Amino acid sequence: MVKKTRSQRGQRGNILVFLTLALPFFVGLVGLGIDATMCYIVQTELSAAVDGAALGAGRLLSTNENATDIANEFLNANFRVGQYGFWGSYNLTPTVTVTTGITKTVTVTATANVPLLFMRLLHQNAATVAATAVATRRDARVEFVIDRSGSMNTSDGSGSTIIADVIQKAQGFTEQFTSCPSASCTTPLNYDELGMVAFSGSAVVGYPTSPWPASLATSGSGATGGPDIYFYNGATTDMVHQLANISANSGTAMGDALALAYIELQKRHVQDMSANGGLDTRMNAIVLFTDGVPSSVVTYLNKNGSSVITTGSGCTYRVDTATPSNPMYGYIVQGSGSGNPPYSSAWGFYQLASIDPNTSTHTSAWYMANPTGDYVSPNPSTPENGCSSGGWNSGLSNLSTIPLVDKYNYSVAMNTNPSGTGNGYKLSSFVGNPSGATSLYTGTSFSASDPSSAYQWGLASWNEVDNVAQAIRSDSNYANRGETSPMPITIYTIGYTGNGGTDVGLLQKIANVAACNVNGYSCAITTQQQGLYAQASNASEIANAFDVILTAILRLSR
Amino acid sequence: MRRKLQRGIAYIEFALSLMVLIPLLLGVIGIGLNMHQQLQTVQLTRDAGHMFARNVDFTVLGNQQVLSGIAGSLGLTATGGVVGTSGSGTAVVILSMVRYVDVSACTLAGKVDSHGNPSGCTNYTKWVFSERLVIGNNALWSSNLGTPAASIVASDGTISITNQVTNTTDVAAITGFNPWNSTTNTGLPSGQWVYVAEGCAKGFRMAPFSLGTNTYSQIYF
Repeated sequence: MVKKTRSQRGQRGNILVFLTLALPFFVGLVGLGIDATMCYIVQTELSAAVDGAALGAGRLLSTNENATDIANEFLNANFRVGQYGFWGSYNLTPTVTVTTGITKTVTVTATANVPLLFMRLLHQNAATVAATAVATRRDARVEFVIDRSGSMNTSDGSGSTIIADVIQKAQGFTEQFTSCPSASCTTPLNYDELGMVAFSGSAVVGYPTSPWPASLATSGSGATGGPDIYFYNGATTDMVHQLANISANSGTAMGDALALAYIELQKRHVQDMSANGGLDTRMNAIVLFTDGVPSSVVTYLNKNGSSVITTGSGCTYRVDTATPSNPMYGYIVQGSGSGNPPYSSAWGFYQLASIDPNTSTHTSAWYMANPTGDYVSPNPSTPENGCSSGGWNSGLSNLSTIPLVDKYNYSVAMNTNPSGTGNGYKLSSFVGNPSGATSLYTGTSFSASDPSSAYQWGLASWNEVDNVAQAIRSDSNYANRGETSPMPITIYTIGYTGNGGTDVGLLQKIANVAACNVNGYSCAITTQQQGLYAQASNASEIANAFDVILTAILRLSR
Repeated sequence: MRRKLQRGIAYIEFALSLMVLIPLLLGVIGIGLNMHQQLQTVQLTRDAGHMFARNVDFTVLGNQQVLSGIAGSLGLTATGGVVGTSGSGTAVVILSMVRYVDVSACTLAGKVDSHGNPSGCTNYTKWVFSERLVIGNNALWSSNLGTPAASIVASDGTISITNQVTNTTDVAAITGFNPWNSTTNTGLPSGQWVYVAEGCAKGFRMAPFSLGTNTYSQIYF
């Protein structure tokens, strides 16, 4: 009995005693949970902060700026020691590592101490959390190719014109690249290089504005100009200003424009090579914006060895010498009442803006504002001496055939894909053509023997663009520059469909998009650089398309 | 008699101990849920900012829906457009693209005199918004940077260069981030943008342990 009583007495107060004894452990457990979560939150915040720092500094990797300073600036703004929300963290210690070269990397690592609340009981006053983020950046060389044909003047449906939208987006696009901010920078390797070609009936280099006229040599000391690093330095001749000068009219010389863009890229490439000990690993890109279908062929009619000009034309220089002395350079434009295919007339032979002899008045800036400046019949100039002026008009009776190569020696005959399927212009595929046409190709194959046929000239201009693009993507000229391997050039295209339609088949083929499949033909060439095609039908989609391509080019990773 | 009393004391002790244990448990739940939400908010803000800085177009409903998916239980509603909707969901993401107005920005807007010096460029040397997008419940949080007047924000969230350099409501209150300083050679160089992401979610409410304070995060990219 006594025993039992004693034990019962002992049970009294058991729970309270137990609880009192266990309370430190409860508090410890809860404390551990809270401390651990707190550290986890601070770690997440630090991780986000270094991510912001790496990305923010990564955009500026190609500049003279001190990426370490900029990363610290971002980091301190993101992770505010001593402020609400950071749990009293202290001792933020960043480590920023920048690797230079053409592909630049910024690595931001940071540690911070988090004061602990409950673990102090165990003499653990603080925990250290750490986070790392990396951003990379490769310098870019980008040639912008902008369509400013007459159709670009039409309304975008929201109070502006397409050309105005494109100029605005292109300016924003330009500003995203890293320009030398002043008139001169000593280390051009740290900046992007941008250039611009605008095209109407023929194409003209819009930026840089000098040397003028644009040199067409792609090797040796003649290679001057090309995309440069001063495209956004506030000068009235910078690319942003030149873009603002653009007005639209006339035809769509896509082949001439791409050929000029290729020349521009090569010119800067060889200059960079010689300035940098034979090394140039910049990424090259051409960004083509168009709202239409190619409608002009750039030609060299009296090229030595050809018999394009008829004997009845009366031309004095019917066949030029092997080294061009009186070359009949010009463009032949096709059109229709609405300006859109199907083409009804081959309109005649006009002067190329890129070789306009009036260089003092017809400057690059003048050409930006005067899209029809090249809409000049070349009759009075020497190479056309004696030719029947009527023979240049509709019908082109001075010609016996469509020349099989263009001025730059690119074929205008059908381009056969390496895969053997999906030949050339059979991949033409219209979207938004007002007459309901679905393709430039109506079933009649290309034949050079009918120079009076606007349809045949249309196919020729399509082929020209296709062949130029293929030559660019494979850098077909590299051996002529004395190099042993091609430089990679990627072409990006943006098609505006809201205005008389564009040829999505052609634009996909130019960009060589990976999933290219048009009219049942596969058209991707896997051995060449693959780009992107972005399609837009209104102003906001244009902005989106530029963004898609910008992100692809800037290639900021992680 | 004694046994009964003892049993009663045990109950009272148990009740007394519960008075400590239950609040402890509820407190842990309340704080835990709040911390979890804080984590989610930081992560959402980071993801939104990262995508925004890399030119994901959040005016597109589809991209907003992606963000809404990332937000998960925070309740971010893809509201379409660029201004958000009051009362829609329990979270909001505010994205701002901010630039520092320097001479070249004034030049772009044509607000310079014949010598190229800023003239009529009233926001010169200030941080201004060049884009503002709000996704989700816009009543939940007003941006710490300030809010540009609705009339100057275009339907795609952009603000014209003229408004950027002249409109007083377009000035962004940026603290802790410095523009380029030529004396110390530090800060953000001219002509560069800063992408700012802010995220806020309505707090978990379980008084008195969790008072429903909004969780907020702000990250510069």
